[in-house]
Amino acid sequence: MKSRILIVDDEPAIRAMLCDFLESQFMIDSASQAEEALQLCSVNEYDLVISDINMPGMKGYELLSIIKSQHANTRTVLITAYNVDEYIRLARSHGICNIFSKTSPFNFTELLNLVNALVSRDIFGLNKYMDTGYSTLGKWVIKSSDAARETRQAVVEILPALHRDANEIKLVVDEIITNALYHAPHTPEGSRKYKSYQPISLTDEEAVSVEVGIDKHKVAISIMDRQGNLDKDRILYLIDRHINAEGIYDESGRGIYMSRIFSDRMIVNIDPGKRTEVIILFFLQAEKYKGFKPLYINQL
Amino acid sequence: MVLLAKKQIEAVFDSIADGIVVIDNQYNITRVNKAYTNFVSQDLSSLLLSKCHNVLRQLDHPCPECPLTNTRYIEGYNLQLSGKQLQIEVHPHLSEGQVVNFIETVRDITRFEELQAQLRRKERLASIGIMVAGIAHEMNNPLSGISGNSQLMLQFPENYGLNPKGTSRIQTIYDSAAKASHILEDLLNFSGNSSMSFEPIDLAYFIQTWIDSLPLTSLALIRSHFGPPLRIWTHKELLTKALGKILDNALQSLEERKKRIGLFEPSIYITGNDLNSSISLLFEDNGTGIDPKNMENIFEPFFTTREPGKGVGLGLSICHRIMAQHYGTITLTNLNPGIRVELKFPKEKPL
Repeated sequence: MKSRILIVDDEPAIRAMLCDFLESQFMIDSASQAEEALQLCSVNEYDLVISDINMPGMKGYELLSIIKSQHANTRTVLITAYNVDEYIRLARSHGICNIFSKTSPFNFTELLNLVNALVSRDIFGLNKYMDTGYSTLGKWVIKSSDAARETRQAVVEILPALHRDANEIKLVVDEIITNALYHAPHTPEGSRKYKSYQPISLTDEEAVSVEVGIDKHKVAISIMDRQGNLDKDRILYLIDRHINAEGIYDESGRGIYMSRIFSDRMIVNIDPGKRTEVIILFFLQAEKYKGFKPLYINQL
Repeated sequence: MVLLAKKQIEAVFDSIADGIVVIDNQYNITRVNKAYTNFVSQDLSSLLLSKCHNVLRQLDHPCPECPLTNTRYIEGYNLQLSGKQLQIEVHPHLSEGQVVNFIETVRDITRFEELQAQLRRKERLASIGIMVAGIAHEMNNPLSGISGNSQLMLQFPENYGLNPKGTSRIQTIYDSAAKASHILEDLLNFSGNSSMSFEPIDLAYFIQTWIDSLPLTSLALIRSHFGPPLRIWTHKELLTKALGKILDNALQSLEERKKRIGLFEPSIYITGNDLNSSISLLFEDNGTGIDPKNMENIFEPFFTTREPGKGVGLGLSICHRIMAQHYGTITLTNLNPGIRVELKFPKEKPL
């Protein structure tokens, strides 16, 4: 059975465009404002609601927050043409973790990837985010400090020439791998198993896996731990804190923010208590879709 | 004792940076300090007992603004004198209720006025920036609808009942939307709404590679001269954008001059220099230059002297913005013929 999606946007051109694009694969309804959307939600059960943020009357984040409280199984995503960074605080307070950016030209491939991941709940793995026919450049499993160092180096070396600064790329790779190694493993009592930069030795269940893939448009790095200790609320808190320059003296938490800034896309997938995957995308050419950087955090 | 006190007072008098002159009520100069002799570039002996209007402005009658001609009306006024902006104040010196002489202070406020003008310009540009960012954000939404719909119609023409003629019209709509989003990106850059990361580069090498990457133009000869490496902190994309805008302006003004006078050798000369406290990059062309009456407005967004369709007038305002992001400056000077654009970069990393 086709998944059912509700599209809410006050701009008729955008509403029609999203319906046209998604209706071949999904059952689509649409509404031009929040009240109409709530009416539809009381009649139908939706797998996903896509809502514009800035609408007359009730705003998109308020609408999605109400829908989530009434329909626990409905996934939600905000879309906006405005600067996503300015909405992260609001998104956090309304429990929303996905904000798609309306760009020009419109990025249909990226939207479809996001919609597919959200409705199928099949969010883990590089293949969900790559164009068909992508190839894997390398795979690593990290259990020790030595392996971590070698992997970090190997990942940076295997990447093709990018339009970004090599130091920034290295920083992103270092930060995400280090986070996975030191922040993820916890003792049964719930405290962190390793202090930062202490030598580590992970069991098979704790091992961190890293994969690098490439398609025609982008190169992607996936870093997955098997703990699932990262929390969406914590990530939103950290990103928002650093966007507003409140965290400049913080001892930690800058890595995730810098990774978002220095990469073209950062996707965080969380299966609580089971695994966390951070996917970093770098476009091979400078961004042709003109607009703002989206926010992707999926917590099952 | 009295002599010592007199010498002390004289020393104080001479150490004051403002020019001070004491005038009797017949406009005769009776005392001056050192700063005043410097202002008028005359020595003490030739000044004493000269008429003040004669010294300051070579007039044989009192200055029209002179507060002394109306003794009850004593106030300061500003005077432009050989390229300097002077602020003049006159204070009456009373003895037993009678005005015995006047003390006039002359202050050079040229630099102060320049800074104030700069500040006013910055404030105006900042408020325009906020407005422009608001407009650009609002435009982004309908624009993504226009381009998105035309993308779908081009990809699936049969879904929309489009014949080839319809498809080709949609293509023009899509192209126009692309052009508009390009302008929008410029606007957002102007308002400083793009994420930034600065890195250290060698400006000399960067410019050389940039020149090499330019499409060959038959219009002008581009020469450059650089000495040792020039280390600056920059955001490469922004810098390339600013260079592109400056080059674009230079080429347009060379073309314009060619149209006007016909035969001449259009040239663009790019040099870099280490000025100790900063790094300077000079762009010199021998084109039409800038009409002096327009100099005041060149950094204003949408100010353009070009014909319609040849640019919306954002080039230099974007350059100004980009240099501000570098904590640097951009100045334009007419060369007659041509223009010199100077970009100054600080040596330290911008915050």
